[in-house]
Amino acid sequence: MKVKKRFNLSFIIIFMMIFSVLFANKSNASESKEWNVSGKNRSISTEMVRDVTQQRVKISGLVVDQDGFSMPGVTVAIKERAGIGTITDTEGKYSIECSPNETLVYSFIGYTTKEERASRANNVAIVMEEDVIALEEVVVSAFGTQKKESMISSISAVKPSDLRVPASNLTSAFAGRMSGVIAYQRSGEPGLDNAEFFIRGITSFSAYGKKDPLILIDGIEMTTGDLSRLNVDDIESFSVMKDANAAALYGARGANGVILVSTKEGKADLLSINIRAEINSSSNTELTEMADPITHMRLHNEAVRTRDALVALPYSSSKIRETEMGSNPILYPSVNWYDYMIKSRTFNQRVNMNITGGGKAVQYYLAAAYAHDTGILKESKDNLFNNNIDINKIQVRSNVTIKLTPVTTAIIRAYGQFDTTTGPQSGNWTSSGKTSSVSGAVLAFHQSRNTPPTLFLPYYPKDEEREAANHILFGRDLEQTMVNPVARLVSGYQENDRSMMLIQMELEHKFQRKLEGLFVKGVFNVKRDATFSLSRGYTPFYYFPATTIDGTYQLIPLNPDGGTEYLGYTGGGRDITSAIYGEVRLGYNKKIDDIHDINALLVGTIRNEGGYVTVANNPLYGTLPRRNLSTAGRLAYGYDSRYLAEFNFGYNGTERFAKNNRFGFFPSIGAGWILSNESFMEGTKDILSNLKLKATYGLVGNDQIGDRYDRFFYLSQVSMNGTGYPFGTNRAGRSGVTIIRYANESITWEIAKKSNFGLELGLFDNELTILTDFFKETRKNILQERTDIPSTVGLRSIPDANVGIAKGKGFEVELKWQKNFSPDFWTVINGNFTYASAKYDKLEEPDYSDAPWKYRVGTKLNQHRGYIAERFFIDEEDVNNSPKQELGGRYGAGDIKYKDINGDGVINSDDIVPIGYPSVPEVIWGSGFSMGYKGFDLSAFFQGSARSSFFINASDISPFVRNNSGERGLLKYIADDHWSETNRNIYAFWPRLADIAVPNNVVSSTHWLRDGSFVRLKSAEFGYTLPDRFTKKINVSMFRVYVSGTNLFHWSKFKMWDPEMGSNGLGYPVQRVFNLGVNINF
Amino acid sequence: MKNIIKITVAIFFLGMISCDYLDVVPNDAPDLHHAFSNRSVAEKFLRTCYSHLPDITDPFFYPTWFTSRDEVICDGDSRSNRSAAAMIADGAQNTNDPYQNYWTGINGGKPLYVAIRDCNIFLNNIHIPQDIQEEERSRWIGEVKFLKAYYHFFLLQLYGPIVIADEEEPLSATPEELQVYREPVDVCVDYIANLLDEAILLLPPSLPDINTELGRIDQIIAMSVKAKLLTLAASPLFNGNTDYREWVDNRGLQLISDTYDRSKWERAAEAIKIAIETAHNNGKQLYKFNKYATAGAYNMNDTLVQIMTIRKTITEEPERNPEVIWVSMDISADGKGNAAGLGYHILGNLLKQFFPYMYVEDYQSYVGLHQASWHMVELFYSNNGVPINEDKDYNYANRFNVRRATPGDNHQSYIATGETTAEIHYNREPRFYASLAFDRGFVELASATEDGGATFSPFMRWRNGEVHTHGKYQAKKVTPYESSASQGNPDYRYTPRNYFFPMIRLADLYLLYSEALNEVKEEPDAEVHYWINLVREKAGLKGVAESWEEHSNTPDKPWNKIGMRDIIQQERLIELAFEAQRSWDVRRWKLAERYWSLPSVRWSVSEKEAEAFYVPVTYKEGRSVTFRDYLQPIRNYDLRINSNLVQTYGWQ
Repeated sequence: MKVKKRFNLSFIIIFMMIFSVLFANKSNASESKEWNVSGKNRSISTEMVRDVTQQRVKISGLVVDQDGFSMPGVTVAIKERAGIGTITDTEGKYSIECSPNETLVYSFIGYTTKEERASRANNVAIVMEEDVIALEEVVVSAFGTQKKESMISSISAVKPSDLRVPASNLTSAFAGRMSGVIAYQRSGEPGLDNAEFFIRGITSFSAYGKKDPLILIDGIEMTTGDLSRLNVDDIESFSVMKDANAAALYGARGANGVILVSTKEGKADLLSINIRAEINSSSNTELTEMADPITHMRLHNEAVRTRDALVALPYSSSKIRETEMGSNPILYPSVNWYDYMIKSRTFNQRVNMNITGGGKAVQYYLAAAYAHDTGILKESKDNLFNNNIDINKIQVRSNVTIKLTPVTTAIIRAYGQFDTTTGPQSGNWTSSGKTSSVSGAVLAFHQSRNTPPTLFLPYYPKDEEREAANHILFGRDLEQTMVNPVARLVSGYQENDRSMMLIQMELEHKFQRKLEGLFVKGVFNVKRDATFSLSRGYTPFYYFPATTIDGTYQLIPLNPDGGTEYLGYTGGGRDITSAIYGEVRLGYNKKIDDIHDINALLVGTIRNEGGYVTVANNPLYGTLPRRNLSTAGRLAYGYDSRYLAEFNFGYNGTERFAKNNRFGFFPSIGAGWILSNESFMEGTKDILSNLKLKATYGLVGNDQIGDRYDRFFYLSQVSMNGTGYPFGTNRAGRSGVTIIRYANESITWEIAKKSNFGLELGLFDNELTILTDFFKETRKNILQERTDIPSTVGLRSIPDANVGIAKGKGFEVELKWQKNFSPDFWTVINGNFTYASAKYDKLEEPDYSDAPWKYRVGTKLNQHRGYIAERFFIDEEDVNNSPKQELGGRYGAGDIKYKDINGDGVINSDDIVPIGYPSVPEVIWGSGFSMGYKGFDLSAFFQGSARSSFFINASDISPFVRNNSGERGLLKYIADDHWSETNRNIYAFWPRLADIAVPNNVVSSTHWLRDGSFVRLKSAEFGYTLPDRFTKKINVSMFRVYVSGTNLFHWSKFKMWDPEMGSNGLGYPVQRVFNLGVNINF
Repeated sequence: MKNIIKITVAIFFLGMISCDYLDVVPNDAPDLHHAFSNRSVAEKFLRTCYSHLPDITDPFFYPTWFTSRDEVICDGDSRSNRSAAAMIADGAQNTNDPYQNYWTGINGGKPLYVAIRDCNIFLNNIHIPQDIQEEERSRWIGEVKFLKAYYHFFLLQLYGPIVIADEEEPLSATPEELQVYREPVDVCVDYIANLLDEAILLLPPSLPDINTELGRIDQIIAMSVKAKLLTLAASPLFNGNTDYREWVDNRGLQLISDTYDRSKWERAAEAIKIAIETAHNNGKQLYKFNKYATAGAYNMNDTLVQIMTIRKTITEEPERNPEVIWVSMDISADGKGNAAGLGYHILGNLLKQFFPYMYVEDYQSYVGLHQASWHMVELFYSNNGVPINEDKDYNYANRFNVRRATPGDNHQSYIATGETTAEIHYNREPRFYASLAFDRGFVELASATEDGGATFSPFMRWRNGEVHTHGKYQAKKVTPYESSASQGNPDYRYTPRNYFFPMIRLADLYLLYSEALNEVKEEPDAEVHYWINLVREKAGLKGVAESWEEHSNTPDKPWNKIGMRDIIQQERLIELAFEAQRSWDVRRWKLAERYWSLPSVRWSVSEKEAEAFYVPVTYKEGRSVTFRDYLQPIRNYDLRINSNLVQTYGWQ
């Protein structure tokens, strides 16, 4: 075997060394205390200055910042004589010779320039103030920042505080908060409640490819999980890169947009401590109701009898009668499994603290956070361990900025994230015929609806015989074919542990003098991520009550030798990844003659992610490193703050493809025109304070076209452990060889052609701002399974090819109105609206010329398809007079009747048509207000989702169906509204009952299609900040208490479960949270 | 300035670092060429070629068990009754998403074209490994050629005209090149027969060592399959079938010939003869039970020995069973036939579901959910070796009357003495008692023997309120003597004894030979009778001429061609009952209209007293069967992808 080169650390080291040399030189240069500010008069030496007129006096002084810290490195220039000046020394002191009438100009990056008459400046401490406006006007962009004014890319900057919701998951706050982001949350399970989010919708239809954005935290690629755990208080800025111009630098990885987050850095300031503590109560927004046990039994009997008159009834009338009387709850149990498994509410706590401060040389931001989240499952008091979800998250962050020289900065970031999750043991669940592993909590919800209510009790009281038994007497059916969900839930727990550690070093040097504007920056980063899981539990003892002769009961042990009273242990998976990243930037920002604004950047990056990741079908590929190389650049030019132009490019390489397809070039161009800065618009400046038009066009790629670990399409893939065949009388087997994939050299990335047209409007002195963007995208090279290969070719797997094209378009609006009515009374109202829709433009499809509605081309991505349900069949005659429905199995009166689209007298797959809206909402909007009066503040935020549909998964709620773990329960909706022989409602919710999932009825059809749109009061908050006069006494600079809540109400046509969960409605419900918090700042 | 230039260059250099950096895949990642790098991995590929053999022990997906209701039934269980096989039996076969789709390998079918491609890949690459003896290499090639032929044959049985996949189509093939045709049946038969001939030349006459090689292919197997192939080709379904006269493809080719050709029978007879001779030459002979070689059976009487001879023909260990030619290596197990998808894992266990309820406690094992159909009860001969409705001495008219078993009946080994049961259970041939379990009858199991197998207890009690009631019969023949159930103890469960389910046995070939000779000859003669009589003799019956002469009301039936054809067909259905052969035979004889449409009948389930219980009740009407049900439809979607394919006639 040829040994491959390991990741070449030496490259990084070489770059670091180059830097060190540079910095050493520069440090020496800046030791000289007096130097020429401007390059123009560089020939004038200090000696010459002394020779000028005798009127000059020596002025000395001190420069300090607002907090009284001395400021080294401040430029002190003489206004009247360009090019002459000095800078302050390490103690902030300076001295300069000048005429008393001259004016001294003090300037420092990030601070407002200050002027003082020389006569007044002598022996006076000059106080510099931080240039707040300058900071606000900067927007974080790819590999740096850009002035907001000259920005022509489409970037949403979100105020971090807007993302604060009382939940330990940042992503749950995304929906409706940022324009251009389509987001929704399908589950409320702690730890697994990430919202799904897509920038400008989904424009790719590859089966397994990446569709969500690239996430970069402090420039480092992170997962959605990392983003979701991020602490809002630590976030300095949050930007969403939407168009090609913004993402082009990320080249082959930016097609789905980029989310850029930077964390706070220290400030040269007095020590400041901020503490926030929250406690909240969380409960299900909605929990789908089950029918009562008596109805369950009656309708089960009905379900059996109505389909087959010959089959014996599952429940005898005496059992129903006895259960109804409730006189003997042990022999005739009546159980609402929810009561034993699900709590009405649960409590969670969060504390976080940060310390910031520093001097001129070293500034720090230190943060620590602790969150404790619990699930809504019931615990057993008889266990020593906790079977409910219990997550402890600890985060530690340290961002330390070191000013090596006034112009050379090093930043060391260290971040650790440690999660310990315990919870019920995960297991397999079969949904729509597909069995997959689900979390223990989701399994608990499913199983609570999958156990008959009148068969056995969750557990029995200890009888005389077993008084001394050291275990819970769990119930189970005599045949032991059902799972006792309570026993499953409380008999063990699973522990998942994750540690993530990250160290990042940044070194930046700003060149001065003739090279002013030029900077170089290096970033080096190591990230290590380790997870493991294991579970512990005991095997429950099961009992079933038998009637004794005297009419009482006796417990029969079902597995007297099978149970255990002690814990066992099962190991789980463990994954370890480690990533190394290196980056070098060379940039040049300069405004020449106040007119020509130049911003240039060149970046090289190299990334390697290695380690072991469990990948089911190809373990080897999971262990091979994931690598990227890129060179990217930007050239932006602004003329007189009126005309803007920009060129960006990314040149990227990835390990995923064949050699000739590994590198790609992704350019983009853009232009902008700030109309409001034109002289002819001068008169309207008061009303039309800002008007900017901008347009961009470019290419971006997506290299993750398949599943994350499904790479190397240019290689065939063979399993040497495939299905074999045994030979010999002892059936000695050997595995066989299975071809998993055929090689395809030509597979490469998706390419997105994106164009964007934007309008920025600021009215009434920017009291009202409106941002609008219209966008279009053409996504090419979408990976698709070939469809023209007949099965007679005999391929094991259908090869993929880059054949698909999708086209997306949409628009987004962001509106903000803020007004301060008086110093005590302020309000902000904002809103945003995103519409994104994409269509199939090209894909391989069979010849559907006789059934053109089957073509996908021209229909929307994620478009639902199904039969058109007309009503239920009235009777057998109706069945005989209707087209034959070839959907599998028998059907009759009370089953769904479908429309024969092509009129051929048969209902089959040719009659499937596009129905409803896509599964991913096309419209997401949010709107909120906040206002404050004196110490009080109030805010509320509404969020909406529209133009989406989902299917109720009928086969997953078909009642009375026996499966491997029990028997599906009866939802109250079905009990209340179904077709029956006595009530032949042909428009009822549920067709004729059955104890199977009737194939004719459970296919996707308009009968099960529901509108996914909703409006919800997503969050609301009411707070009170104590007035200064109280807090000052206790040395507290700010003290605020607040109550808040999320998912407080929703309005929707759909009533069975929380509509945001879509077809996942029987999983862990989305949570409603009430929160009490306190925020103290010292 | 110099430094800046350095950095600039470095940044560009980063992007340009030799492509090697992105070359992360080691050369030895598993790739197709690894499958043939040496003998050991090539053997794995050989096994892969075998692995596609349709699983005869799969109740719901193998095409012969429950797809019709004339042999076995699963309709007592509502879950089994939703299986792919039961849907076909229900007449729910369709073109939208066909059940048991062996063409594409979905809905229960195995993807046989994938199997054929695997065989082609093997044949195209097996020259690569260097460490194989040429002798072994050619044997492997012979085996894989056989498998390739067998997969085509299996498709031919199901679909008639099929696509011949002789070559491994390259991935670079244009869509037009992949638009292949279904070839006429005669072309397919010739192709498969040729391929089998090529295989036979390379195969060993018989397996040198069944201990390590059982399940592999030898000449006897290949010749037997060829015999079956040519018999199928000569049979009425494909020989002069006018139902398919109009079935032509877009080249104008007729896919099934509508003219009868007797030479097809001659060709078949020749092939069968060679197969039988080769089998004989290699030690194959009809099975006979040796009670002294079986633990706990030394004391069995002759009646029981006869029953054991019939049952153990199926279940005996291969070392001691010279009759079996080809066995399946698959094990009857829980979860087959996607039984889990039906909601009950254990439904897929064929042997378990045919296992009779003997004790109340057996219900914990979920045995006996599938039964033998009513038709089988009437099918078996009387003890005189002729059909019960032809037997002059058999009380056919009163066969549903009840009768108490007395010692004078001489049925002590069949029916519990002193118990009352139906007349139809009396005076039947040994194969009836060996194949079916019925109310008040015995099921011989090692766990229930007494006196070294002299007697067995208990008898079956299957009337209302007794151990178990379904009013039907169990297919006892497939239950091994060594299996056991609860034995009346709740701690015991059904203990399966897995055996090697036979796919072809010698008696099958004998009967085929009789059948072919009868068709070839103008009149049946002693040669025609000879082969069928060997089978009858083994079953404890006299020869056809003698039996019909003495007992039948149509004594010269064995001497005319049509009568003899009838006798051979019934003999075949009896001898091969419950061996997953019946459906293939009924199909090729074009008798599906007669058998697959039979109504479902059982005894009255709600009664306990014998008189009231033994009343036949039709509980389900039969389905209507037409000519189109003989061959499977292809999924509509496949016709969309390949416009040269034609849908199976009658399914358009």
